[in-house]
Amino acid sequence: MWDLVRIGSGFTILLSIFLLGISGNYERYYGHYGMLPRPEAIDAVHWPAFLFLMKSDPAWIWRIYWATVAAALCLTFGLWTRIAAIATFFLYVATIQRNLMSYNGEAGVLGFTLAALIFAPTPQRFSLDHLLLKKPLPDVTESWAARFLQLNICLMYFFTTAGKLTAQWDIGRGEIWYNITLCDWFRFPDAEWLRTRWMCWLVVNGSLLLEGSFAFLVWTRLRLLLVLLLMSIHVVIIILFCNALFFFNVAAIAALCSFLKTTDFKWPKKLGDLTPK
Amino acid sequence: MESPRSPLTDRIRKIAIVLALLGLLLPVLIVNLGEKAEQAGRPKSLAKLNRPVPFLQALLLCQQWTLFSEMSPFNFKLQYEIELIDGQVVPLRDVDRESAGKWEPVFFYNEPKTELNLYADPAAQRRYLEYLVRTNGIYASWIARRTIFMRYQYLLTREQSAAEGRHYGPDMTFVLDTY
Repeated sequence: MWDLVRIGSGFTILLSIFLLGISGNYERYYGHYGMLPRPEAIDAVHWPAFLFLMKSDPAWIWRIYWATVAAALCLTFGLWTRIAAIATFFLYVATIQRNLMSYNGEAGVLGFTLAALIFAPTPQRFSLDHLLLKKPLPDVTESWAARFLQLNICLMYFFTTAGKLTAQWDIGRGEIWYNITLCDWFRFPDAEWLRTRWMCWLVVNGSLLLEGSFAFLVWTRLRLLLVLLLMSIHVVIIILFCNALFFFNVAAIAALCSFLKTTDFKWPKKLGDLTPK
Repeated sequence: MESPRSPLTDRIRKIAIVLALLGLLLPVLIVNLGEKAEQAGRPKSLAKLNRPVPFLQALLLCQQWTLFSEMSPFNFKLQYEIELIDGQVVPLRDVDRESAGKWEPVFFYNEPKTELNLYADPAAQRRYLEYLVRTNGIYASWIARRTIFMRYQYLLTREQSAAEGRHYGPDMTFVLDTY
């Protein structure tokens, strides 16, 4: 299912960078005269961001912008996939590092997803490399790139749960959900039923159980069920919370696709195929 | 035709892959373990595991996962204001955001998170204030005092809310920085 990971990640980058570009926010975050001016950035950023600082011409950042768009487009459509993944990874990391005020959850997920895509088997079935350039599909696909991505996802959910348990997410009444439904990131503050006691209990304990057990149970027969449940949670978060969480959840869903197999969605030809073997 | 790899080359390759995977995954595991131990007030020896890994952090490959683990008991907005040398007080506006109009939540989708990032970084707050000064067309030499406020609204607990018949406390303002 590398196709889904690749297309989902590429789409996330393309849409977010498109919005940054047309709104003027790109210049605001990353411009030489933006929130973090070039002279101050030189002492404040990690090394990938030096790509932005290497030229004093203010138009330079727009060349990086269009290079990022081109690389992400190639990645999304699977054209020269591996080179596109390398370029997208580096350009995306450089962009985020240029001003960490623009950092959001999707940057963390896309970091390891793009790194995995660099080493993923290519060409993939639904890619221009295969469909247009007629490159043959690999006979043997190695799984270590997928394992890297999957283990990172497991670490993400495991430590998120650990963080919630060591912070404020009590296993008992789940009252933190009450506060969350009143925060200004929540789209439906007037929906009282979303913060009833039973709902708080269900949401808090349900999400803790699902996220906390994912890292261990996803390697069992429950894999598909758990992955689909987590994807559903991410969709629900997109609906319930403000746009700031949209891209993180799309990126997480794309990364979760790495646990799927093409055989997961094959319709059983006869009833006997449904019985476990 | 591709020549088959020798068993030795194959073994070296596999070892290299395993080492690379360990090198990429272990720091994430160790840093997060240290951070959670620190958060939970566990022994200092465990908390010491939370050390910077600059190379991987620069490449966004060593994340500290704390998604929604803490929830502020209030909603807040940061506000920036300057006092000019003639005594006039000018609230600073973000003209980029204002120009987006009703499309602001879409075009500036990341703004709530940026606000959180700014809240955690006083140096970045000052830099953002200077950016607002520039984009508001004000010369630095005109300014006598700069002030960063946080306007916040307390969220009442369920019990307080039931007693008072509302979910939110009154708006309050707190000076974060003035210079």
